[in-house]
Amino acid sequence: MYEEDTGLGRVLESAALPAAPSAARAQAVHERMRELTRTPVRRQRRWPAVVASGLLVIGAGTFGVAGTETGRALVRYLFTKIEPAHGVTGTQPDGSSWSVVRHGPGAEPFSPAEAQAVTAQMDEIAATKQAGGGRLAQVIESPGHPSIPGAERIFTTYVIEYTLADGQTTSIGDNAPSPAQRANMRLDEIMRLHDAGAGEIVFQAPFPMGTGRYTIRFTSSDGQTVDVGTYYPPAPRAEREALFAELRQLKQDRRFVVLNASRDPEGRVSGMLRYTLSDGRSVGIAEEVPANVITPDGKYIAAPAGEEPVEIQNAAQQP
Amino acid sequence: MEATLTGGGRIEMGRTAPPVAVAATALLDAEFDAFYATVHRYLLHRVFDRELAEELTAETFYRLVTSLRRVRAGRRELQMWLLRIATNLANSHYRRMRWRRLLLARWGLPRGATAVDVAVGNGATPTRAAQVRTAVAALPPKEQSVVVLRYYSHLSHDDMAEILGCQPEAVRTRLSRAIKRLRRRLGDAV
Repeated sequence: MYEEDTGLGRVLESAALPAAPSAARAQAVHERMRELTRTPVRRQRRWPAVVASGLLVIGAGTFGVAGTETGRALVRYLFTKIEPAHGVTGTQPDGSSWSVVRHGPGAEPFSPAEAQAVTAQMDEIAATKQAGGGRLAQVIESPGHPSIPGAERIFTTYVIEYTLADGQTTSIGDNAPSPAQRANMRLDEIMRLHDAGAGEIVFQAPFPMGTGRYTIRFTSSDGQTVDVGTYYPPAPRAEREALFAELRQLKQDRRFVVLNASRDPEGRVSGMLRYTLSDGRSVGIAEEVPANVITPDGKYIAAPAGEEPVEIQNAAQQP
Repeated sequence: MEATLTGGGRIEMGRTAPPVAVAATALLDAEFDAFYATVHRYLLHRVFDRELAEELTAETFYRLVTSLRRVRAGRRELQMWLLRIATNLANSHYRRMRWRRLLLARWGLPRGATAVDVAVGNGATPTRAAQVRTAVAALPPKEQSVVVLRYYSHLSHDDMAEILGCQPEAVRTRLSRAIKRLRRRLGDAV
């Protein structure tokens, strides 16, 4: 049962202290209370401290996310949507392979009908190619890479524009035009003129690719003119070879900046590599990124200490 | 006697204060001295230190201002609310003191004089009253609060239960334990 003790109660009361509060102190407290009660209730809630605390938390959180590499990597991991690329591949009658890739935000896989249409289109292009059809639209020269056999020297791609039966126009990059095309487009003569540094610049745009974008007008022996797009100004081949040799050396020395990079359906990583030549010119080349600058997880382009690594788009598509 | 809740026009309130707070403030203003004495007496016997009791009493009233909106405007309700705040403050004080003593002991430093030491006197032979105060001050805060509310503030079990936020049965149990503990400590003194 509960226990109460009146004897103990008397003892306790006898030990009570004289409880006369300080009148001055009581008056001061009373006055202070009146002041406080005159203060609107909302001001009594110490909202400045609450707001300051909230801002502090937000600031610390922002610093944690934006000010640290771990935070940035976490945000990238959480918010970077991996956009898979979708492709249709095939082989032409001459044995060369082709691929049509669809990528970017919202890209959807090719439906069977679309894949069939693409294949039919490529078959039509293959037939046109063998017949010598098409128009030379652009010449792309790249320096190749010393570690890729057969690509040590200038690598030339001819961009040929085809007009299909349905009136649609499409451009195909081709490393090996058919003999009929070489003859019809006078490719050998144009390349001889190009290698001699001939041609007249009819259009020029500043760098993002090569040393700039140029349209060079060549006049063939029969008096016809052909406009060819390229990324280098007219110059003897020896000059371009010297330039490309310097680029190859820069690439070997890993002295380049990768502006963007993405992985194609076959697992290759390509990007825009920007080099700075010894004479100060910038050269941009879209090419395959050397494997030795890709991080082991295959998701980033390795960067020097203190610099932001470049994320590889479609990194999930590793072979 | 029940006080009027109008305050006789003496109270100036903030514009945003609700009507209930106005009434409670009027009552508090009218009977401030009585409320102050009640709280002070309670806290004095919780901490046995006049200066500290004054400080805690002032803090009790300041805290009341921020919670006036939740107080029902009756004399008993206001007193219960004040004693509840005072109890929490006293318990907090004892918690702080406990941690301070633990830290000082851990670092090998003298723990300093406590309120109980002051109540007993500086090394003088303790009087019977001082022995009693020492025993009360040494009780766990929850038991100490029921002893002080019962024997120094003369409250009923129901009132104590309301202040402490528990059932009257729990108050009785706590009081019974405290009495046993006091008896053991005071021995022949009771």
